[in-house]
Amino acid sequence: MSTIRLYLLYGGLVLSLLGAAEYRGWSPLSPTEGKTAPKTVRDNPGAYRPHYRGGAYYFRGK
Amino acid sequence: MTRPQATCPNCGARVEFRWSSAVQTVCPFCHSILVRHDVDLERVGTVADLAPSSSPIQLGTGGRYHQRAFEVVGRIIYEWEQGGWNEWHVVFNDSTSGWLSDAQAEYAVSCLAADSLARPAEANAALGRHFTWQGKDYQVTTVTHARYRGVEGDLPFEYWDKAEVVFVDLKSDDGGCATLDYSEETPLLFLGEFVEFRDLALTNLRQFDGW
Amino acid sequence: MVDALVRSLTCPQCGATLTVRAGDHTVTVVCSHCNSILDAKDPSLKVLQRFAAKQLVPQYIPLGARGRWRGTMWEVIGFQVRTIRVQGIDYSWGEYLLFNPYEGFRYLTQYNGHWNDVIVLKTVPKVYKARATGAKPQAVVLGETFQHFQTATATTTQVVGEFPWTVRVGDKVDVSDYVDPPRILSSESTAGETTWSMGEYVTGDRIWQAYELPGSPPDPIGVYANQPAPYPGSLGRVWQAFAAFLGVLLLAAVWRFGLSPHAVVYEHVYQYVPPATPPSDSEAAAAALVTDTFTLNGRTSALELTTETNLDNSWAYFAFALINDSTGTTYDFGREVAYYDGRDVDGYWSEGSTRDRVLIPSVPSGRYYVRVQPEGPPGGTFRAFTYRLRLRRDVPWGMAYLLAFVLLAVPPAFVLLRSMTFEHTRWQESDYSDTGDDE
Repeated sequence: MSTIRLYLLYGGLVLSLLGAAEYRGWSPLSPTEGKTAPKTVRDNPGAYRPHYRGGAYYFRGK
Repeated sequence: MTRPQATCPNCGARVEFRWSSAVQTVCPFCHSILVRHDVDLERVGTVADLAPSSSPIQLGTGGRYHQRAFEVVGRIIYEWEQGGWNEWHVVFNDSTSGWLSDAQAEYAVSCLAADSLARPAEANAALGRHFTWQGKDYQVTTVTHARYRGVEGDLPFEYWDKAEVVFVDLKSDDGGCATLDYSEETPLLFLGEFVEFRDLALTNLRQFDGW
Repeated sequence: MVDALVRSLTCPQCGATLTVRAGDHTVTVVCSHCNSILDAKDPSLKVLQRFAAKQLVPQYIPLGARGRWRGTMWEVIGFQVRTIRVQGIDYSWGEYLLFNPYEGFRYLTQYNGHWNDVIVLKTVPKVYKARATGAKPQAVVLGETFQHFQTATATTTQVVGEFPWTVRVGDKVDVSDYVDPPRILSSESTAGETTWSMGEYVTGDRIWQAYELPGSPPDPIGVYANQPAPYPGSLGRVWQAFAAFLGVLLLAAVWRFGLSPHAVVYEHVYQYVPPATPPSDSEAAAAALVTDTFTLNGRTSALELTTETNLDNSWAYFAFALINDSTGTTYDFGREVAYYDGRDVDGYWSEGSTRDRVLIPSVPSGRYYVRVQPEGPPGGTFRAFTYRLRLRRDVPWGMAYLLAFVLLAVPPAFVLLRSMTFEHTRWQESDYSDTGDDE
């Protein structure tokens, strides 16, 4: 296939992917999707356990 | 085109003119050069035997030049230090004359220019010089010292046994060509253009063994 | 009547049989048995020159070979080698004389595996001197402009077969080449008379095909003067396409970033006071809170969550959970915010940011709320901070546009780089190379 045709196809693909990403709202974040949370979380947020062991990062700066 | 006939004064053969306005022709049988005075022919010389030509064009070859059909009726053969070439005399449908030059299968069609166009003196027509005719610029590209080698068929003027002839060839920047012939007292000017073999649509060409 | 163009001759020098193929066009014929150049127009075949044979360039196509080229049969009747000397080095190339009794003559030239199909021009090109320093002289013919490539003196060093002109080993002509790939315009001058010819680059494969030669053509070495560039014609069009793509990208970006509403669906300020000592898990969980519910409309799209804090030389960690109030689906993720600054010998410095922005991907419409569990270094009210949560719907993902730009730019950049490298190599062989002085 000629260079220009190849590039037009490739560019079309890139822009289509961008369009799909924007339309569907893709993002680099991959949150852990969870099972259903009980209604009681609203009344007692402390009882909710996140679906991963998110840690306390004892992050000390300079 | 009417083809007038006459009798060769040398061998008595029937001589047919391919062109009604021919001034000179060559008897195809005894190779006598015959000059026409109305109906009578005067023998003025003989053409030496010509070696078989390597040009694909021959007397009777037909062709087209810018939608004008022509027929090859005569030939002048020239020779120079590096070889030879042919000037084929062609006649168009309207009975006007032209020249198809054939040098190592490079073809050009040209016609005699009107007397009114200025011709430079031989000394002025040096390599690289520019001249303008009919609004087109031409540059001198070759100066050839040639020898007349022979004639064949019908010619529009008397032409034979020229000793040495000087030809000055000029080219334009768009395929046009011009030739100055210094064999006469007043130089002859021919203006024309280069043509491709295929564009001439030539018929009745010479056949070559193996081609 | 059929005329013969072929005739046999006997070499007066050595008695070998010679074949002449071009009838009375031939002016000079070479006897390769004794390396004598004979006058073909002389009935006794006068010897014009005797020369010492040198095998500088191989003759790939034998005399008498016929090939179909541009719809006509062309027979090889002569071969010569010519040499130029540039910066003390000799470069030789081969020239094949092709004959057809109707169409005349043409040439094939060969150098280092590069071939050219050459005809004599019947128009005179116009030559222009270089217009500025660094520019090259140009020649213009039949509406095409050629750049000057090289001028040198060419010497005939080897002859084989027959020619329609007088040729001798040792003949010198001044040759100038002008290029406009894939074509090359050459002038040859002796004693004021100049002949111009036009060549077109052809691959060895085409020659081998036309002449049905055995084996394969020699591999081309380097880049030849008029060799077509690797992306002929495409370079400009690829960049035009890139510009068009960029236009589309820009329009999309303007529309998405500038014109779309991105309305705020929820916003609230909170305060967090960390405990005096590091909390246990259940104590940490107790610090969690939930936002009010909010509605997300429209199609499935990204949800932007911005956390703005007033941290200064501290850090915070937020465990977020976006929870669908109707279906109970949860999206768990954590974000950290850290900001430090100070002054030292080099002046003021800062590190990190007081805010965080994250896009939650592909959130379907519905009623949602967010559960937030903040964390920070322990220390009581001294380490307290406020934070504002802002949620916006259908926010564009900026990095995607940047990525698209980079991806779109890679092929044109690559094509350009390759072309530039190719052109540089081409011109290294010319009078304009940047290695030392030239003639």
